[in-house]
Amino acid sequence: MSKTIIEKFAESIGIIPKLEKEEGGLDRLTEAGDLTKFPPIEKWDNWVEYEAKAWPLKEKKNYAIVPTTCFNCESACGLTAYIDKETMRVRKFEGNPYHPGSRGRNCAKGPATVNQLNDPDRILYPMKRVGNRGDGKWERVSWDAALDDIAARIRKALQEGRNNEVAYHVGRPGHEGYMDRVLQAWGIDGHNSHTNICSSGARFGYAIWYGHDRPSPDHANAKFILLVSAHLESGHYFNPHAQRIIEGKMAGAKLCTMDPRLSNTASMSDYWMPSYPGTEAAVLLAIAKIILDEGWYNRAYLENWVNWQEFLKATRPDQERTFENFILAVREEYREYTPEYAEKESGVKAAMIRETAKLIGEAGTRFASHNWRSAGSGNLGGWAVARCLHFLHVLTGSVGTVGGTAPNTWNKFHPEFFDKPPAQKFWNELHFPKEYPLAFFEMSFLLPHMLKEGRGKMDTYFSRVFNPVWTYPDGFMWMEAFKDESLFGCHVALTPTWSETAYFADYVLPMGLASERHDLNSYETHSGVWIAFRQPVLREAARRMGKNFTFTYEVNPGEVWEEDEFWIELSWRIDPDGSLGVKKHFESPYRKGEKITIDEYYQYIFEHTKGLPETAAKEGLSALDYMRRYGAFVVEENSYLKNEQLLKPEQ
Amino acid sequence: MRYGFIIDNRKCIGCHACTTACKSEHDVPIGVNRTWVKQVEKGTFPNTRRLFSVMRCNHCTDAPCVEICPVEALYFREDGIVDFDKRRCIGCKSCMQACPYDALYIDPETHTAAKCNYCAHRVDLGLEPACVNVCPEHAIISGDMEDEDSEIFQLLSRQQVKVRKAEKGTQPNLFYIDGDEASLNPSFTEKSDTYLWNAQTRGVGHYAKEAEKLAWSNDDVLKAVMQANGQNSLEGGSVKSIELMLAGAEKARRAYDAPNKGILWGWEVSAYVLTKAISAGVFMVLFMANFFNWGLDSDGALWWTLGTALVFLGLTGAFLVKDLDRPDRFLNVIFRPQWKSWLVRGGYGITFYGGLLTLIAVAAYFNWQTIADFAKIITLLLSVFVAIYTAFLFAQAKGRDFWQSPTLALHMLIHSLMAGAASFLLLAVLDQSSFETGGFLNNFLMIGIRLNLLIMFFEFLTPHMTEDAHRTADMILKGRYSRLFWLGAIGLGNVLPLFLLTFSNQNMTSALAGLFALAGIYLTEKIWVEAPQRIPLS
Repeated sequence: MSKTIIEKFAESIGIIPKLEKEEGGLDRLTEAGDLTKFPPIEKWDNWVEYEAKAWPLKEKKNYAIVPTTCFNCESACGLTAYIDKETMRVRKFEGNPYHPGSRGRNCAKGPATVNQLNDPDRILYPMKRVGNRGDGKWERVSWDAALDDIAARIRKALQEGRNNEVAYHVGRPGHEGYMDRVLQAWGIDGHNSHTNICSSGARFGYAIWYGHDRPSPDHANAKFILLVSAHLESGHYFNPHAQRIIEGKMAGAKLCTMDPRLSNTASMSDYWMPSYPGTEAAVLLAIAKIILDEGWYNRAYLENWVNWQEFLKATRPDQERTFENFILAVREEYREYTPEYAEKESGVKAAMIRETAKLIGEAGTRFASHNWRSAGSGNLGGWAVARCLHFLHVLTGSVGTVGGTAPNTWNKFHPEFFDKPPAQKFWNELHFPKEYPLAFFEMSFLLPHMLKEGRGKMDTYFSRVFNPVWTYPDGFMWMEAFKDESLFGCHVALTPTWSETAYFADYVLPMGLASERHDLNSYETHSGVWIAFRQPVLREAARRMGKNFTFTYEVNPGEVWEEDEFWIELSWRIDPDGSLGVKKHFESPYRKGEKITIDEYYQYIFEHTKGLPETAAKEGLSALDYMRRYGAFVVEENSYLKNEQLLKPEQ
Repeated sequence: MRYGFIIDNRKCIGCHACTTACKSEHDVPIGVNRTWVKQVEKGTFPNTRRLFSVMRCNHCTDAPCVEICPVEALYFREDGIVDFDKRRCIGCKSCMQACPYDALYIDPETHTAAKCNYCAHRVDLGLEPACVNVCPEHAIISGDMEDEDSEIFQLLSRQQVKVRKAEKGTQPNLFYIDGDEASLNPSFTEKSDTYLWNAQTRGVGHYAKEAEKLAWSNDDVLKAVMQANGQNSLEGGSVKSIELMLAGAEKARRAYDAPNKGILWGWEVSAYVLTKAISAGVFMVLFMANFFNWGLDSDGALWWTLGTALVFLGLTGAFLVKDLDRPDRFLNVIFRPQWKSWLVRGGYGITFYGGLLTLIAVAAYFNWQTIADFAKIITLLLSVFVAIYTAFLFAQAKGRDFWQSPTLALHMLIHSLMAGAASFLLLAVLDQSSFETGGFLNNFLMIGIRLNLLIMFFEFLTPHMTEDAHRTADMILKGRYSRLFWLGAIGLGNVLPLFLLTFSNQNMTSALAGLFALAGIYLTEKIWVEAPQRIPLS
């Protein structure tokens, strides 16, 4: 583009403004024509690029690139924050190429994190209720005042043996074992969750098969993928799983989805089974029947890993205990579940059930599936969906195989903590009432009802990223209970943003978003084990520039804090003299008798992570510094067939 | 080197990550998009699916937006990227009419045009565009299409690919693997019904200036929604043509789409076409009358003509500037010219025409006969140019099929001649000595009207080659514009004046006929300007 003579003349005499053409002067990362995805990690401390908004003016912006993890769902995909070193604000988020789960890519929610940071309605300072609970009037308080007040309440409750009156009710945990350790250190049975209105149905179905309560499908290597509900666009591990489902599909896998809705997943599937809600199990039983009848089952696996002798003994004591008899017996059990029966139940065409059963049989050990909430949580007996689905894996022997579906724990990291408090000595019946002996998770939806029945009270109740007033079936009941100060003595809402539940709190304490907090993440996104480090990026950027802070809220927007440091501080104040036995669980493993810092907490974990200190040392870094820089670490790759490994004596 | 995109629909799961990554990278305001995912559902249960199509600038080799842009705010880079410079943009929205792919929008903060620029600021550092980086499925592939080692070259060589609207001859550099006509071709599906945020008329994009007004009363919101509703639907005959097109296939519907941009060229543009027609028309008619000795040879007639031409030329300029989203930059048309743009050519034409009219006035005043005579001949050529250049501008607006009609220049010339004669019939009421009615002016207008009707007849008689043009014609003849067209443009604007002129020689009736004819021209231009803009481009 070159200016015409007219334009040059008009600019020179000032009729129109002179538009300068700037020379950028920044070097390319690649040869002309080639493009790469991310700036090289050596440049992350000092990355200069052109500001898109000023373009074609070549305005240079100097960024510190700091990895963290997304917190807009459970997956904890990698993010890198681009921190403008001049303003110390996050300009944008991109992916983290070093994150083994997300591999540098994200869903729409990743880059959108910047909107949450800049939300004009977010809570920036600790707030205390003024007037009656639920009046919506607040005053700003200091963290010190809030901590002292809450700590004193808990201390009194613990001193008086009212341990069951302190509870922590969580929506989205987002960490590995941190809170369980804190609650145990306090000596309370204080954990409540949202799981019973969410995944407990699916978890139960899996747990009764193999003691692990989640599936970990190896989609990328599968030949047939069966999804119960829309796992290409929602569900746990959306982005990491969606990547691998399509990878599997591009490598030739067939994709089948059972979903009453025309979801994106259903649309992308080779087979869409629009089953009536609650009938998924019927289809799965019919597939099992076909596999059994046609002899497509994996005999070696069944013989080895299924207690078929016990089954025969229990159901057909008169028969000889041969595998053939076992198969005949199971076929007899499944006789009624014909594809036609399933079609009548579910609306899924019998022909499609036959076709997919054949493909599952052919896929054999390379059959991957996923089922989580939806069918499992939305229907009476929904737990049977996971149970029936897993039976197909047992039949095909695709448990923990390449392209199969593994127990989640094979692909999940278990951190080693600096201190392990003893198990709690209390049983809180407000969480697990005795009349529900089979409850797989806390009967959390009953909490306000039980309080109103006079079965107990909550002296100090923390809700964390949890909004029952809005999301539970009977929000009005929660409102009623929250308003009653004899039921909830003090309600502390830990949340990054306002919610209907926070409205009925005594303290609303602002907790950081994805880039404003510490957490350790590890999820079963594929075959392998990884950890990722969620960190407050402004604090890390400041640290790299030589500026250290005691608490994350000193560097976050306003006084937004994070749970990790909050719990350490609160615990310390609950037991200032150590008489309750709480304090000792929050003492530094590196400085005897002193309060642990958040850096020390993670330093200890990373120093005790298999392979991490060695990898870090190769780059001349400590384990903690390695995680601060890369944000993630691969602990183990290809975690297949762990059931076939010989156990060591100590195991 | 030539950068291009592939959207691999074998892999795209419609997750909108590209949309948000782009929003974040470029800090794109609410309601406008540089890239978006259109979702279309086709078939009937259970044989149905949702199709995802990532929509954005196609970085065309022969980009109509670059050609039409009057100020070179849009330009080709050497690597094939079509980039833009918001500092030059005047907000004329002609790029939005020229782009057949709906790629551009008016940024509600800068009031200038914007679109996907392939993240040129990243590419210059060797980084992939933000959308490519974020995509969970690697379904967006960027790269140098001339590099045989590149993934994009290999995919283009081995896969069946499809572009949007290949018939436009724009040579798009964005290719779809497994692209589906139901999703890529906007005429396959109706625009979705209006809801709060799916129409920019609700106060974003070009309509951002209305936002404040709309925000404060429910009444206004209701009105806006109703208006937007009208803007979206294609009533009447057009529906029939869609049904015809879909005969045999199940009707597809839009499940998700970017906000509708509404009418971009409004009444200002129809008004400017009318004032321009009058300004050019009076001179043309005067010249012909003098040349063929039909009359109008008085000094009075000359001064009235020059005055009328200059006043209406001034109005023309005022409407043109008013239509800009950056009226403060209107001088860019003259001083930062991009010569291929008919907006620039027209702008210069109007300027010279105004200058020559002034020169004639000066020459007439000082009685410089030779100069006046010479100037008149050049002015005649310029007046014809001024009358018809808009047809070439409209033709440059490749997004609007109906404007590609070869009759459009003739249509504007006839309109201008009619407007000239009609104006004189009105002036006759004021100055009977300079303009006599009942004579050649009446006949001139009658012939003009007959020719006008003939052109319209041919416009609609000849089959429209493209679906969009066909639908526009249906909208005019049978759809939402039929009443305005038949009663207003044809009845009031042509038949009634023809009737009046045929059966009466009275001063007042002739003037009335002139007035109706002018109203008819305005209504016709309103329909011609508006109707094609109601056809969705994406």
